[in-house]
Amino acid sequence: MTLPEAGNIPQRVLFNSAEFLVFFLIVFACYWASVGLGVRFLPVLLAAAAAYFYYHPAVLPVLTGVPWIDASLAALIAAALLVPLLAGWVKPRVWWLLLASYYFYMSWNAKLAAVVAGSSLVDYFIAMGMARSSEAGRRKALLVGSMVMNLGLLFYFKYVNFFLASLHEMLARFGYTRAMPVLDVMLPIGISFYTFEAISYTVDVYRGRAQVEKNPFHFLLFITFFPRMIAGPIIRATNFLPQLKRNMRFSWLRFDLGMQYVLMGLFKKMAIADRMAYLSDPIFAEPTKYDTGAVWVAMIAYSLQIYCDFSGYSDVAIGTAHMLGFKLPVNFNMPYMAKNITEFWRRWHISLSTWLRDYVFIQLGGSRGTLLKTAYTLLMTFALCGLWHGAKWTFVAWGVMQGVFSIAQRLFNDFNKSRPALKSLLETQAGVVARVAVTYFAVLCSWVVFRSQDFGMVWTVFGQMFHYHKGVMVRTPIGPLSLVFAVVLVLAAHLAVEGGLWKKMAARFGPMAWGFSYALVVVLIGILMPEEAKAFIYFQF
Amino acid sequence: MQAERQHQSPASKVATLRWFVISVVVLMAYWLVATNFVVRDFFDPQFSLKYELLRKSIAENPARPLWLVIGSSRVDQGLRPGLIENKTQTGESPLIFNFGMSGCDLFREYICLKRLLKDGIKPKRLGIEILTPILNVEESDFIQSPSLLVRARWDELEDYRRYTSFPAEMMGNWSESRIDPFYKWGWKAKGQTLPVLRIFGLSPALPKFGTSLYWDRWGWMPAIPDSVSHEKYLEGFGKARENFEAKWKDFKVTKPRERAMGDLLDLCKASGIEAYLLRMPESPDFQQLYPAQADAAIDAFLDRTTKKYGIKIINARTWIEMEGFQDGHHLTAKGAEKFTRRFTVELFKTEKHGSFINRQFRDTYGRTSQSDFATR
Repeated sequence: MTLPEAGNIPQRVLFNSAEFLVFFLIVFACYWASVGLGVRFLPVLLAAAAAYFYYHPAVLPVLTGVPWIDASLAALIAAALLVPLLAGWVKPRVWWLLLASYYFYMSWNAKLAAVVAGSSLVDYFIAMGMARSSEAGRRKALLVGSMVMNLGLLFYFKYVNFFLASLHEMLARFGYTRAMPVLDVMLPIGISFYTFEAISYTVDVYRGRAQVEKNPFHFLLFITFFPRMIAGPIIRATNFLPQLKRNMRFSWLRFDLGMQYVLMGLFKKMAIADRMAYLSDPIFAEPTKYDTGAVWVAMIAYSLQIYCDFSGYSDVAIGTAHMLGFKLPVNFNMPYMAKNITEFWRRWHISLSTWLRDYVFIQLGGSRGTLLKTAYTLLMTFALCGLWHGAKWTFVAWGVMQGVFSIAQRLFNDFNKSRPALKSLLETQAGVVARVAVTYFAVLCSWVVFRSQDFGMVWTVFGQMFHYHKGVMVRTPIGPLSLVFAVVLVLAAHLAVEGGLWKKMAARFGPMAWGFSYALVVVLIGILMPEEAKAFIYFQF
Repeated sequence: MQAERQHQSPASKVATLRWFVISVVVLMAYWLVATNFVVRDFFDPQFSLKYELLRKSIAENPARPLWLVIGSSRVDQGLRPGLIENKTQTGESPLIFNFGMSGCDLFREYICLKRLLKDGIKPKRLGIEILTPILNVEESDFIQSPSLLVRARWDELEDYRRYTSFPAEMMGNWSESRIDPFYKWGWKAKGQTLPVLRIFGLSPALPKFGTSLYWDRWGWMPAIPDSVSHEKYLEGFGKARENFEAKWKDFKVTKPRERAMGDLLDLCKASGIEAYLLRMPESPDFQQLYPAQADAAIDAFLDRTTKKYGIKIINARTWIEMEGFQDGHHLTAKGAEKFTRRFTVELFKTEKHGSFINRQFRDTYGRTSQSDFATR
């Protein structure tokens, strides 16, 4: 399996690149032009086009860059793409977004974009078949067919070599040492996200919770909508598809909100996460070299890095969607302010945790049975959550760790029920601070497992965290004060939002304050961003 | 609510956009002024932090003559003046300070000395490290590489210009780094939190934990291992070999290097600084990387220079065994300890006006043949 390395991913797919900015400006201007606001956005379109040709003098680099597509075939594809638009099968704005989304994905890998399109169409026809049939057995068979295809593709692309290697290891213990084949499979970026979206759609149609989408172009756009295609948030058909049918009207409010999300996301990614990587990456490259203090610094830095990296991506996705008139679900809500692990999962990667709750945890029995049954369900759900993140046992262990924390929390809650004094103590301000700190500490420890390459590294890093180890400090181009400021900034932002201060302040901001704030964020991103943009961590999932 | 509604109107959006543009222009202008005229050496944080440490040491020891050693990361990591601080006699004993900086070649040494002299810091003695592996490089690294060029002060550009064959390109890169906060090569400087804080008018004292991560009070970088495993050494040595070996095939000391050496020693002479040359230790296998032609060219260059300027050289090239190196040319902390002790004895031997060093120290560390390292 080939993981998408930062170097393999074209700049266009990275939100934190000038190329994406140019791409988005073109999409944005043409999109609003397609709903009759072309004149208003003409300057944006011209600026974007000029910038595009500055960056990419070659026209249509995607089509001409793929070896098996020559110029005449490219022209044929382009003509074929125009048919649904000219025939009136699809609204121009949906057609345009679909084109942009496939361009976005094809600029990384054209063949895998075809795989995505193929599996999406199969899901579309399966759902149509379910909607037309009233026979329970047939509907169930169609659902099973959809699950087998979606999970089969996910398994093949993401897990096949992992399971072959694990099988080989297991058999080797019984003396069977013949090597298993290693398949040369390229992992399609975003596969874990769009597979879960497709599954949720067919399951919801089967259950009658979602109406079947009759327009295939709408369904294809639901799967490939570019702002969230690569790393979420995981969207539901019931939320997204109705938005395609609504009449779209440009709203300054929504544009402004989108801009705020985008700037916040880029700041988190470029000014915090990428800088924190300089403190954490060296430790995980060679943990034994470093001092205990350096390992703690790295772990705190990593906790900020992964939060700012992933929530930064989600913010940009939500923001760009807003600017195009779409509302995506919120994916993060100040997770490090969580008072227990259950609350943490209500605040961290919300679209995944709610998906797992609705389609796995509740299906397995939820909290209805005995404590033992609930514990089993929690462990299974979180183990799956870990495996979803990647084909490594450390991810599974990380998931199991979350499950164990959740079970421990339930046991502690039961223990508290008969102890009102303790319960009220935990509700005091000091008690809340202590609970937040304990939750953060537990999450921090779990990041060690999440970030480590293997279990050997997990033990090494834990060993160095909890037993004094003499070594060197990290030497990085960024100063150690960077960590202090990142911690202060993230904490202040968490407190300001949690305490409602931000809402009050934002309501009082006038044009001058907003204009200055946006400018400050833009300039600070420019000052603080590293030389080379890094790929988002969640791209590999 | 009313303010919120007003904020949502198109007129308000135009006003916000207007303020955004105005603010970007103001902030960029502030950046330009602050990085060029308010915060000194914003783009050269390594020099800036070492300079502050040196100022502090001088302020604490105003009566002691300054013996400065200037050089590359080899000096930065290899010379530990703190070890001999209490071994010298009190009173007039010299203040030895390590002014090593990563990648510092003769040209940068010359620029740094000019800066110090301009600020009234005049060392009594100056150790000048000769970074022999790059004596054959035509263009100075600091001019070739935009990330290093950004360190130049505007009044040093004339010096830079004299050393490059591409003055227009150099000026273009330098100007861009000064005007554009997004200039990517400026990041190594911007990435340092401390200079950025100063842009915003905050001037915190160097935090103890912050400086100790980089340098101790005598300018030595303590963040290096006491020793490294043989595998680690081989890995580091492999990288060093990759960097240098191929470039040494037709080794000759280039004119810009000769010129930088001349400029530096002329400046010392004109300022009344007693200069000496220093050749830092290299591991036996690193020494073998030099072709015979390179050794001959370097020896001839050093011989020529010492004779022309009547200065001495401390040649420590063979002092340390392989166990004392991280990678063949950077010392470990233990290697640095051994080097420093012997260097001190040699340094005092070359002192014109008598020795300040303790007899006991000299007797202990003056011996040269015995190994301080445990057998692996």
